[in-house]
Order: sequence, then C-alpha cells, then structure tokens
Amino acid sequence: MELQQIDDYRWRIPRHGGMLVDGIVYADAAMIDEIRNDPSLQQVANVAHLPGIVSAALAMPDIHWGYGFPIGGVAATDAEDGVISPGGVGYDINCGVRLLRSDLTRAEVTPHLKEIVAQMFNRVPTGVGAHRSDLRLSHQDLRGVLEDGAAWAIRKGYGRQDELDRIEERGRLPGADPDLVSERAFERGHAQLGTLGSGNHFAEVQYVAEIYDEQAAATFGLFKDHVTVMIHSGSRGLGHQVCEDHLRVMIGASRKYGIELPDRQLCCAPIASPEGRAYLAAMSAAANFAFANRQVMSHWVRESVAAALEIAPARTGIDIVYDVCHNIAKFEEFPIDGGNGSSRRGTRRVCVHRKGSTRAYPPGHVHTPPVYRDVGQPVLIPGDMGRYSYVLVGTQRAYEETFGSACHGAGRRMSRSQAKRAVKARSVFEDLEARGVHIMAAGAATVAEEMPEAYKDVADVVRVVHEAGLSRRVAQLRPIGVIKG
Amino acid sequence: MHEFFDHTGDIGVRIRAANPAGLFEAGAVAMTDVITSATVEPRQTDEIALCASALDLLLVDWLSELLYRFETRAFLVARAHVALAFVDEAHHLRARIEGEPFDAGRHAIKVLVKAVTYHALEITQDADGWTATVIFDI
Repeated sequence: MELQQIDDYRWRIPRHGGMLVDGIVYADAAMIDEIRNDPSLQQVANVAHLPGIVSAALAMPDIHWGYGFPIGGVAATDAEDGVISPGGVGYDINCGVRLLRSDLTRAEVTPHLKEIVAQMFNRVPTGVGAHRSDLRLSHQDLRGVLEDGAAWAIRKGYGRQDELDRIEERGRLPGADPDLVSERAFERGHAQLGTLGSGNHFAEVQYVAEIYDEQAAATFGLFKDHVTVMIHSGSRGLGHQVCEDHLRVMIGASRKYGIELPDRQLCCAPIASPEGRAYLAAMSAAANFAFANRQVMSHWVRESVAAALEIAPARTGIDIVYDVCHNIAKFEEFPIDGGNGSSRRGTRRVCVHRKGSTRAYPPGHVHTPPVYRDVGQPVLIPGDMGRYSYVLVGTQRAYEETFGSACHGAGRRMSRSQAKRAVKARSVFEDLEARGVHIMAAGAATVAEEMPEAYKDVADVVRVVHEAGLSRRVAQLRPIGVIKG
Repeated sequence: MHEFFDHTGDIGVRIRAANPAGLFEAGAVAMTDVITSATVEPRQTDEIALCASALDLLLVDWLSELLYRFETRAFLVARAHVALAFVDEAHHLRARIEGEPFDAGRHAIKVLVKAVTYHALEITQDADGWTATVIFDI
C-alpha cells in the first residue's frame, strides 16, 4: 500500500483503482510502522470506494483491523448524492462513552471502594442474560425507548431532565421509526435495557489524576483527585440485530443500484433510497436504545455510590460530564472549501459515519452544548483498565479537517488469543489489584482478553490527536474500580 | 473441524469439511466453541429451516440464527445435522440441532458474540474438501 507522508501526523493513501478520494491516516511515524502491513490500511482504501464520499476516507490514530470499515474510521458522504453504509456504523450501533463527575474525593471514596464496586456489580447487570427483574419492558415501553432515547429513561425516573443538555444529540436521534425495527430485534432488546454487555464494555470508577487545561476541566466539573465514573456500552442485542437485518437488505441493494465494493461488509444504498432511509430510521431507533441504556446505568451507578457511602444520591454530586457516540452515522454540516463554520453559507450537509471515532466539536458551535460553548465539546477517550483514560475538548481544526471527529480509544495491539497466550497462568485480577484497580467481572476469560497490555497506550493515541490539533488534552483519569461482563 | 485465526479485535474461524452440509455442521460447533469452553450436552432437539440466495449468505444466516437462539432462549448447540438443497435458484437448509439450555454454573463463558460478519466471508472447495472463513464480531 503506497503511503505518502503529508506532515508529522498525517499520511496519505493516494487515490488508486476504484477509490473516489484519497485515504488520510492520522498517526506518528512509530504508529505507521506498526500499521503499515495491517489490513486496516486496505480498509481505509476500501472505504474510499463509497459513492458520494466527500473529501477523503479518514482514519484516527487508534486505527485497527475491523470488518468493512477499519476501527477508527471516518467517512462523510454527501447527504443528497451519497450512500449510507451500515458497515460504517457497525453492529453495536451507538456504542459510546458516558462520563460522570462527582463531588467526592479519592480519599473519601478509597475506604469504601470495594463496596462501591460490589454495589455497581449488583445493580448494573453484566454477562450472559443478566437483567433486572424491575426493568423488563413491554413492547409499548420499548417503542418509547426507540423513539425517545434518554428522555424515555428520564420520564421513567432514571435521572433529571437537565441531564439531556450534556448528551450528544440530547440523547435522541430524530427520525427513529420503531416499525422498521424487526420483531427479532425487539425480542433481543426487551430484557437488555440497563445492561452493560460483554467484551470491551465496562463501568469504571476513576479519579482525576492530571489536569492539562484548568479552564476546560473546571467547566466540565472536573477537579484534581475528584472521583469520576466512566460507562462504555451500546445498543446491545437490539442494535446488533438491526445491523444484521439491514446489512442483508443492503447486500441486495448494492447490486440493485450497481454499486461495486471491494468488501461485502461495506454494502450500502443511496441515502435517498427506500433501503437507505429504512436503515437510517432503524439505526436511529437503535441509537436511542443505547442512549437510554447508558442513562439507566448511570442512574444505577449514582445509587450504587450513594448506597456504599450511605449518603443520599444527590449528595454524591454525580452528574453527567458528557455522553458521546463512537459508532454512528449522523447528518451534520461542515464548512467545505473554506466556508465559515458559524454561518450556513459555504456549508455542506453530509452523513458522517464514525466507526470508532468520537465527535469533537469546537467552542461556539451550535451543537456544542450551551454549558460548554465557551470551551468546546468534551471528547471522552477510554484507555485500558490498568492505565488511564482521557478527557479532551474539540477544536476548530477537527471541524474543518475531520468532519469534527477525533479518536475513540486505545486501539487493540494484540488479538484476543494473543492476549490469552500472553496472560498464561498469571492472574489479571491480581495484577490489577497490585496496580490499585479493584475489578469484579462476570467472566474471567473476558478479563484476560481485555488485559491492559492487549491495548496500545492510549496516551500515544491522545498525544497524536492533540499534536495534530483534532482535540486538546483536558484531563487524565486513572481507574480504581471496574465492573465488566 | 474448525480452527480459530487471529483478528485484532474480533475472532476469525476457518471451518473444514468434506461437503457443504458438513461445513454448516462444523460451523455450529465452532460457534459454541467461541462462546464457551465447556462441553455442551445434546439434551434437547429443535428444527431450523432457512433459505438464502448464496451458500455463504446461508452460512451467515445459519450462524446468526444460532446466535439469536443463544441470546433469546439461552440455547447452546452441541451438534447439528444439516441437509442442504438448491431449489428454485435458492439454497435451502433444514437442520436438527441438539443442545441444552445455558447453565452459568457449568458453561464457562469465553466471550459473547455480537454478530456474524460478511467481512472476508468465503466458502471454497479444493481437492481436500470444503473450507469456510467467517469472522465474528466480539
């Protein structure tokens, strides 16, 4: 794969073959050496084949081999002439991250940490088939979740109305149509609201270890040594089924519309076609399920911390910092050819596919939450469970260069079997305890596969994003307690 | 028979059999092997019928059907008996599956599968028999 260096942090895959635009990868020289022979670069080139793709097929520094799109991939297609590709969203529709801040200090929490983790593990279902008997949705309830997202959960008492101000899209994608969500998806979803799932999903108790930008951190409610909780989860089986159902339709649609692609997983249909519109309506419904899912879990996390400390939930000071989607396709507007972002003139409406990428909007943008309009939108980047995660803030540069997108995490370094081989007899549980991280998990095998060394150092990924100007570092969060599926 | 191969974030499986029906039977066993390290007993049986326009799409449908049954009915497959037919331009599958309900006490979970992908999906035939390649999203 030919790769041209543009500057210290950008590499171009020149347009060739059926590519409609170049590919551009954000990475430093050391990262490029690691990914040079990886199938993920070919996947960037494959994405550049999508009809109507605008500007370039992009990849963030946490790029790794996915299915169809690379993980860490971003593609914007023209809202009128472009296509929508379910592979650019993935099976876990609106998988995302929510960060909660608190008034509690690390010193106050540490003596009660095991109890907090145990309370979270008891209240937030993890693992196979786990769900709470007090939250089993009727068909009608589930329709409400799919239509209204986080607002549905708040109506049912899981949180406060003003929390919607701190969720991407206010926790609800418009245009969701439950009638386009299959019976099977309903069946998979009805007992899964408020459940964490498995794999790399987690809920993590952390503390603010470093502050890089005092003003932004204070605006986000983050203070040194204060405790935070990060939740990483998505739309569960409901979203997986929506993707599966519509991928099959899209395989036929690609043929019908004469779209030739190098990987069937990229199958797509024009946004304006019946197949494209149906997928978008179903995807939005699944995304709303994910928003409600994280809303319910964060309510239970607040209750868990309060119960462990024997204080009222309101006294924890636990509030949402932000909630971001990192597997999503959304209609957004960007300045094209030097247009001004604050004005509608010179903008172009596109469908941004973010497959393992986080929106990173600048200060002053109308879709940056009003509470953060002076500093920019929080960008939440989870790392592995042994080291650290980061809070960044979006920039004008990202808005102009990457369709307002940044990285989404550390990116895997080892496959799951490599991780298991590397672990051998030693206990990841004991290793984490030695690092000061208390963990409870439904499955020991998952913990081994998710061990810290299986991931790239998220600090490297964040450094490249920061240096490339796609987001600025605000704070580093270090884990002290984790629950996993 | 099946073997796993490395995929950075997910799990790839290569399935080999003497004939296409054998691929589907071995695929069911591979699916269970992705999910649990425990032995699954053939205590209950059920029937499945599916059809698709291509054999590889039928394989994705088949494995997705088993995943759906695991997730919604907690049913793990021990083995499957599969018959395939090509009728009216479509591939038809009829199967009897044997297995048992998931028991958290006995069936240690290796990993939960989100979906069966089309990425690098392939069914090929050579002198030694048939091979299928499937990547599971984890």
